[in-house]
Amino acid sequence: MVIDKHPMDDWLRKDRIPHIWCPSCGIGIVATCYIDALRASGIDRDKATVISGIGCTGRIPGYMNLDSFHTTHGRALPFATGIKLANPELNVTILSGDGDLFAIGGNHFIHAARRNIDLTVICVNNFTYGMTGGQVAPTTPMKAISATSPYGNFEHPFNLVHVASAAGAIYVARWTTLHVRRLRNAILEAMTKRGFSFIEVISPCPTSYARSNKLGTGLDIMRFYQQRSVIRHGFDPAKTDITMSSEIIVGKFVDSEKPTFTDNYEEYCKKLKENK
Amino acid sequence: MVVNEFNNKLIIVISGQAGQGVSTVESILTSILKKNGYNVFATKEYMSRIRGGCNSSEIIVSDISINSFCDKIDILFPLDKGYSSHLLKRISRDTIMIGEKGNFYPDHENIIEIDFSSIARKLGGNIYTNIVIAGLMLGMLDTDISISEEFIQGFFGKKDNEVIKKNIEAIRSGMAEGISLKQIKINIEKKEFVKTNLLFSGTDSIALGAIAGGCNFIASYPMSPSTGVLTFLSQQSREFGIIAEQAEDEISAINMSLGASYAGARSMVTTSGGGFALMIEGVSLCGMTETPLVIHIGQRPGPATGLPTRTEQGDLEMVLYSGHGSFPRIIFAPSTLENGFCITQKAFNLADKFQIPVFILTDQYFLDTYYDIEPDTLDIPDTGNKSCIIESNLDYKRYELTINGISPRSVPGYGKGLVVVDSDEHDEIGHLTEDLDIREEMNRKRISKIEEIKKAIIPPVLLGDLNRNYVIVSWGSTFNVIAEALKNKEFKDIALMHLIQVYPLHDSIPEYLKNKTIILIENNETGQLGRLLKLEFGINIEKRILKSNGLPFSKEEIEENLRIALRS
Repeated sequence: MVIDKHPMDDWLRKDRIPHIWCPSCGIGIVATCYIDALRASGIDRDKATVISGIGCTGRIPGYMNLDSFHTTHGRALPFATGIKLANPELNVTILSGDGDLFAIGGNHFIHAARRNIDLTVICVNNFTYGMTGGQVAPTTPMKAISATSPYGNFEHPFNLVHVASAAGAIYVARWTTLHVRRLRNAILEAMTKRGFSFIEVISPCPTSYARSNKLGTGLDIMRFYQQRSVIRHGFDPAKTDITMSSEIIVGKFVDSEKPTFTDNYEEYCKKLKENK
Repeated sequence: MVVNEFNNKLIIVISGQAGQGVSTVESILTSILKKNGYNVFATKEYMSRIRGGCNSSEIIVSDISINSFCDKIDILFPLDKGYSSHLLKRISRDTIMIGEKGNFYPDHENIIEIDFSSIARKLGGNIYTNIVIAGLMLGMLDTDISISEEFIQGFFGKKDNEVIKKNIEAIRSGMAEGISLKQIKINIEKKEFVKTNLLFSGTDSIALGAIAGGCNFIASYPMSPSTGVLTFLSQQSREFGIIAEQAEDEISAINMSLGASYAGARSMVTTSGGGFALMIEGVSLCGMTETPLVIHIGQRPGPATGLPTRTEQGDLEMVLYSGHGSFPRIIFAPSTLENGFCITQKAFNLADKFQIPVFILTDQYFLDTYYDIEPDTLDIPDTGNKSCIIESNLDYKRYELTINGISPRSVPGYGKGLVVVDSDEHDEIGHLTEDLDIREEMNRKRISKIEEIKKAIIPPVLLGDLNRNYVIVSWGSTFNVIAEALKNKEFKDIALMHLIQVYPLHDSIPEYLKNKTIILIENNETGQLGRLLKLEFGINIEKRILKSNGLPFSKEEIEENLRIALRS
């Protein structure tokens, strides 16, 4: 059977395809999952906005047929905070990489989570700086080789789901790009949930990270995810560190309720109106 | 008994440790004096500490507006025995010190001893000392007790009645002392119309101007001396529908404000040089994405932390060149508080119209100064604040190429089209592109907006006729003090050209300066505006009056330096 129209065509900026990502890269899978989730959510398309920082993942919004803003390195979250405060009706999703969100944008991340502003953050974690040429990231596991850790990384990495839950995120999950359906469902859940939601997606970087650390081809990495991933919903995020040799614990770790920044603000505004 | 007589004006200084209430006395006195019909001016200099040290406030009471800092001190109220070296330089033999025994400067002869503390203690404690001092000054001048009482009611309104009652007693006791003080005779005429004048500070002028300009979003990070604008707008946010957010740092602040602007808000940030250094990345994003933004910078001496609570006009060059890449910008530097209000309102409309960053450069002196203002002088020509945002249609292009470089701006969720924005170089729709021809077209488009911007440049303010041989060139907060000094007949051959818009510069400037001896006055070490004039117009300036010790120019200092300039 030949289909001349891809089911995602309406949601993509077809004229922008082919995309820039390397063969076997996981970012396209994440983009697809996001669109699929958005479509299933029933959210008015005119009310959906995607924001990104810089890097390979930062290029996602450029391929989406949605209101979008490709900001500068690390600044997607403060920018998105401004949008959400100025127009709370918009459904704002941030799609960015681990370096962008947790190195240069690390301070913004913890504060956005602390505020519990109603944003959905999808972080594609490929353990490296892809676009700049495979340098060490705050997520690079100990001993891993990168362009700037040629003798193996000496620094302890961040465990992103732990950081997010400690900083106050009300929804925290981790999946790999192998877990397509679970990832799509998680995004759907996160984007329809009020508050600061965070999803970490473990994703291959076949060109830099996988090659430097001899992880094999894209298919090998998928097999690796299949063998190493263990689904543990509700597991303590503090105990989900990822090392070169450990299991990858995936699942939904946090799903809690807490009034959001805009809820608190709107409640105050409502009270004012009642008292008038 | 020697009687000291003061006619038409009186310069009062209150000095003391941080935390002793110097500012409280200042604000009570100025408010009540204005309500009685006296013209008032006040400014403060203070150390970067919450307790201790030596701070001082100057209050000028007069029968015509004197809105400039003077070195001379007629009456000094020392609340403490500590004197900073810069305060000591201002004390002359004629300065009358009024205060308690232990606080007088050793060997100063012209003193009037009043035991404020014991008067205060009789009322219930030292806490009333400042009110007694304010009362004394009010008694020495011709003021109405009912105005003072009404003010105290309002000032302490949130406290219980006992507190209000005690403070009224304190002000009464102080006034009784003041009336009985026969060594000082003050003749300053009161004016009925002054009673209804507005009394506000530089900080208020910027914040009120922002409200007048339709500002509904501010994100910032506290940094002296600019913080007051954030605090003011936070406190007024309910009244005027403003979202005021304190961000985790200045990088975040400017990005939040840009995000809000993308979503349709009229947004601003307020910061000082050190905080602005962090914002520069955002300025470049603002330039690339053509997102309107107003940036207020309250200048203070740098580099680095510098002198956190003091003043300087040292950030013009940083602001001028901030942000990598080329894109147009507007830089304003308000001359007076009235002008600060009007310029800030205008800034929001220009940012919206041209889709550029618009800067407002003030400084600590400007922000911490206040005086009474006739409401009529706050005339703003364009009160409509008409928004330039359009509803998008399906084939909307955010960066459509137009003749004047300005593309119609829409916001997400308003109309059928998409608002696509990229910090990378982009095409008309807003998509990232590496088509280098488009890059050139887009760069040209952005830069070409300057022609439209130039049509709206505010011409320089001119004082004195054009036949004079000397012209002072200055900018920003120094206007009032220079204008005041030029009232002196010695300087009848000197005119003033004062810039409110420091970038882009008005074309008329070289014409005014042709064949004149130029005297540059700037509150910085290197003459940054002078260098800009050289760069833009090839103008050479030989005579320069510069200062960067963290204090503003005083009227006397300008006079003295002008005399030197005329002689040499």
